Amino acid sequence: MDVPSVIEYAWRLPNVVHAQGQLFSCSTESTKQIMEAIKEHGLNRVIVAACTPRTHEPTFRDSLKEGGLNQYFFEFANIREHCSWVHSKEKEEATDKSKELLRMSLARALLLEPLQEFELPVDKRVLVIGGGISGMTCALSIASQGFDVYLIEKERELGGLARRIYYTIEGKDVQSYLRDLVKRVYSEPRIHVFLGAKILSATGYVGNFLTKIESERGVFEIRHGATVIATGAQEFKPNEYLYGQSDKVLTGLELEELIAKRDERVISAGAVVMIQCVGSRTEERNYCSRVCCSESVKNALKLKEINPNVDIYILFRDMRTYGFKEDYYREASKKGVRFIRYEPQKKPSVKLVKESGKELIRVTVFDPILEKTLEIDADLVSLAVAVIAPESNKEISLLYNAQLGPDDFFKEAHVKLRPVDFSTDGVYLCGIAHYPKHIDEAISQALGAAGRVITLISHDTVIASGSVCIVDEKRCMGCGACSEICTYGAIEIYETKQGKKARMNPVLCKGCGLCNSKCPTGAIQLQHYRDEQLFAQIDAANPEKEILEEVKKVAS
Amino acid sequence: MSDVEGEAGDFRVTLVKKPRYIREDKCTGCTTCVEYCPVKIPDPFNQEISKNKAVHIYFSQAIPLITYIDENCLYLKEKKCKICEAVCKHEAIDFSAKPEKVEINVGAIILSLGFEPYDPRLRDEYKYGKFKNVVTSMDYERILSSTGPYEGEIRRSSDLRHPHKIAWVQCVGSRQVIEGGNSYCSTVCCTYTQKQVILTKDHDPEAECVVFHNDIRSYGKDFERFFQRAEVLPNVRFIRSYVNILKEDPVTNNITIRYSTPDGGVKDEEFEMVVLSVGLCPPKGASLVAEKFGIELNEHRFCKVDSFVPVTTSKKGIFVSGAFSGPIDIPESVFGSSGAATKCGELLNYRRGKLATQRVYPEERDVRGEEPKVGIFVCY
Ligand SMILES: Cc1cc2nc3c(=O)[nH]c(=O)nc-3n(C[C@H](O)[C@H](O)[C@H](O)COP(=O)(O)OP(=O)(O)OC[C@H]3O[C@@H](n4cnc5c(N)ncnc54)[C@H](O)[C@@H]3O)c2cc1C
Ligand SMILES: Cc1cc2nc3c(=O)[nH]c(=O)nc-3n(C[C@H](O)[C@H](O)[C@H](O)COP(=O)(O)OP(=O)(O)OC[C@H]3O[C@@H](n4cnc5c(N)ncnc54)[C@H](O)[C@@H]3O)c2cc1C
Ligand code: SF4
Ligand code: SF4
Repeated sequence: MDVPSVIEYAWRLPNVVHAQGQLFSCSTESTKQIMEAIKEHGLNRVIVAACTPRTHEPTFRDSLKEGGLNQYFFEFANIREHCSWVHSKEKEEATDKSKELLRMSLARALLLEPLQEFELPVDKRVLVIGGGISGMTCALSIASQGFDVYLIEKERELGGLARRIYYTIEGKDVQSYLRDLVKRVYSEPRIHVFLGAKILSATGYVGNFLTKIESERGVFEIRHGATVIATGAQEFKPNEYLYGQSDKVLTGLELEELIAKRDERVISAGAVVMIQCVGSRTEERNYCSRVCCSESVKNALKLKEINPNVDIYILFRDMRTYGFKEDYYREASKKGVRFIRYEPQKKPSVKLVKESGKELIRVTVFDPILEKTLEIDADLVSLAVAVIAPESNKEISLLYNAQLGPDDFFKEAHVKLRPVDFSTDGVYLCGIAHYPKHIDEAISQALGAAGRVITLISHDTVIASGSVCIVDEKRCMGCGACSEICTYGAIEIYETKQGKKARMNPVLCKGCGLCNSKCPTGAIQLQHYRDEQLFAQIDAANPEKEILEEVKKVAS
Repeated sequence: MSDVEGEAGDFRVTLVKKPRYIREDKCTGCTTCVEYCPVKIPDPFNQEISKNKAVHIYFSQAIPLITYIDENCLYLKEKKCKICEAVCKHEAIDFSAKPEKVEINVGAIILSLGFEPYDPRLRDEYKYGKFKNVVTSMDYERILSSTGPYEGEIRRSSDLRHPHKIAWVQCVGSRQVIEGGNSYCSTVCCTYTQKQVILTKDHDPEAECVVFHNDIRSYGKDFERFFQRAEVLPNVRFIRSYVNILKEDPVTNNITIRYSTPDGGVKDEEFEMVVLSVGLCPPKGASLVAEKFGIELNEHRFCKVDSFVPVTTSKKGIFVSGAFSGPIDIPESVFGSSGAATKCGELLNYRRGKLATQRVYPEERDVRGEEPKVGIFVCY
């Protein structure tokens, strides 16, 4: 858009005493400029026309504080997401729209009021849900920095999926690592483990959660300041490729177990076929499960180690041995493992056959390079099955207001800026509850989550927004519509001499505005988004009304 | 970083701060000096595609947003010129500046040295530097950027025209065990290429984009959907084939690529521009840093980390984050960095908060009764 013309327009708006362009408003230099302009021109309202308040509002509010102004005198006009990005091909129209957005922001800015924030105490204890490698790693790191951790696991044993993984592709021994990790967890006095645990209820907010659990040890109420979700994932159980019908068809993890135990079926196998992307990258599960290509290569290398003469065929769509794992893919290929690509519309098929008294699985696959259909008789077929989100994620999601993504894995607040936070404050995530990943990646993310938790609980207080709802008791008729709809339990209906009235707990209120729009008498107002502020903004969308003059009158 | 001594909990690091020949407290970033400087240089931040001056601001988001003078300066080389000094109204130019030694005392160190993009000049077959319109993906990132060499317009260097038919070649320098190549997969290039295709189509809906790839490695969260988003765009083709960058037309500077598909056989196709999706190499100077800090590197010369103890180097008190631990994307770099920070916390927890000071804001001005006075700041 034409920014100079937007600035020129800004100068023409009422009550504007300063207007300028900035190359990057959010840079340290630019925010300093804002602070200095406040002082120099005696500004008492600041509007930044830039990108999104979601990431940048705190930065600019801070400039206001530095300039000695109440931070709620700040207004954001989002001329990026709401304008330049969506209208990137219509420069003139985008410029006009920016001006309109700016005019609307100004109308609201004139009516802004100073608000005060609250300081809330922070409970220093932490709840970690899920006792897999991720949950344990996170708990250990937090505990070693002096904080108490409640680690709750639904099974009767810690370890999660890793209990079924014997080695990594790099050849590291997972079981001995896991034993050591569990031992460290039990010998850390600050970690309180609850096995066979089920969450009964959860309430509260950042710094002050209350979770009720039932476990092997009985029912407990746990108070905690932060929550970490490390509930992991599961192996998909397919109903194709004769899985469940023939004991010659296994999942990758099942094969891994047979290999680890040197099962006779593995030792005597002459031919093994591995089929990739079973249940992944389909319409139903439109994602790649990330670990299965490496899992198959890992198993193939192990099989070759046990019996160099075994014929191994890996039927794949794309081999996704990313990063340094590529070296193992190459090694497998060198050792004679045959990789055959298949197209999703020509999936391999399997059938049970008898050859000279021996039962075999005949795998048929079309090789697009040779342009031929191949038949392979296998003693074992291993399916690289999908990693799926557990059904119970939905429950956890509701309990802690933690969002799920389209595939039911937990969804981070921001992919790049806040990759282990939820948008709900005080709740964090790590491990394969977020998305399938290898053990090293899960550990690294678990440490990352621990870091974020510490950032919160190493402080004694957190700041709660001043933009909360308030009740005008005179207009309240005590119908209770507001308290019903509030998901944070912030509104209480109590008896007064004038009858039932609503009362707001500002600490619990998140400023979502649900109650405010439900209230039939308009008794509830959301501070910073009061009706008159929003109406002024909406009215200013219509220039004909010369509404600004009117607003100006109101403001003065 | 020139030197490091000591041990976990008490490191003494010596840094050498190169002189910028500009007084940071005086320079306002007005760039008058840049205007008058007679020395034009290939802009290092814009991949040397466009020109800058010997005195310049590194890039438009640089902190602080002021100039520095680089080694191409006539005065630094031959004691001539000093025009900048004459035109600067703020007396900010200071040719007497010397390298400055700074000593810092820290309890733990995080190495986030990142990566170096693969240099395709290492292999003749890529024709980088030979055919004018062959660029790297890093060059292309700058070309796409609004602060880039063509201010956000996609142009090619031979004639500054907008190319409408662009090819991407994947796995450049990656997944190859040949002289000058890396055996590993660089993990980010499949997806960044899809991003570049989507952005190209945003710039120019008519553009024809062809990606020559090996496997498509959409292994990350939401990557599969991202790939599908790129794949379904009109005039976008993903072709699974190795390529041969054959020839450059002497008149048009268009480039012919030879490839083969199972149904089409061997084909030659002409493109107006070719983007090489270069991989990630260990950072420059990794060996030197490793030696000074006493940490081990792996066989690919990235920092060595144990799979069960990520973000931790072989030396106590020294941690690693980001692409220096291996090719990874931004989200993984970010959570790994948070992980490295928490490892420092574990190590130094006993003295947490000892160096912290309370941030004090000025007293809030009471603006009741004031006429609204609005300041508006518009971001370019
Ligand atoms: C099929 C498959 C194959 C894999 N292969 C490999 C491989 O070869 N190499 C590799 O490095 N990685 C592999 N992985 C990944 C590896 O298993 C994980 O990265 C690692 O185990 C870390 O998992 P986690 O702790 O995040 O989750 P999990 O191990 O799943 O642990 C989560 C824990 O949370 C518990 N839980 C769940 N819900 C609740 C609840 N509501 N309340 C209390 N507790 C709950 C679960 O019982 C479980 O113990 C594989 C994963 C799968 C699914
Ligand atoms: C063409 C291209 C496109 C990409 N696009 C995307 C994308 O769209 N999304 C995404 O997630 N990822 C993308 N990536 C990957 C992304 O660039 C990396 O994941 C990310 O930059 C890693 O961050 P880092 O901080 O570890 O390393 P870097 O960004 O490399 O930063 C390292 C820093 O350390 C400095 N440094 C190095 N050595 C020293 C030393 N001795 N002393 C002091 N400082 C030193 C360097 O100057 C540099 O500033 C892309 C990569 C490429 C090549
Ligand atoms: S990792 Fe490999 S097998 Fe698994 S879903 Fe992705 S492409 Fe398919
Ligand atoms: S990420 Fe894709 S382009 Fe990059 S090296 Fe790996 S397979 Fe090749």
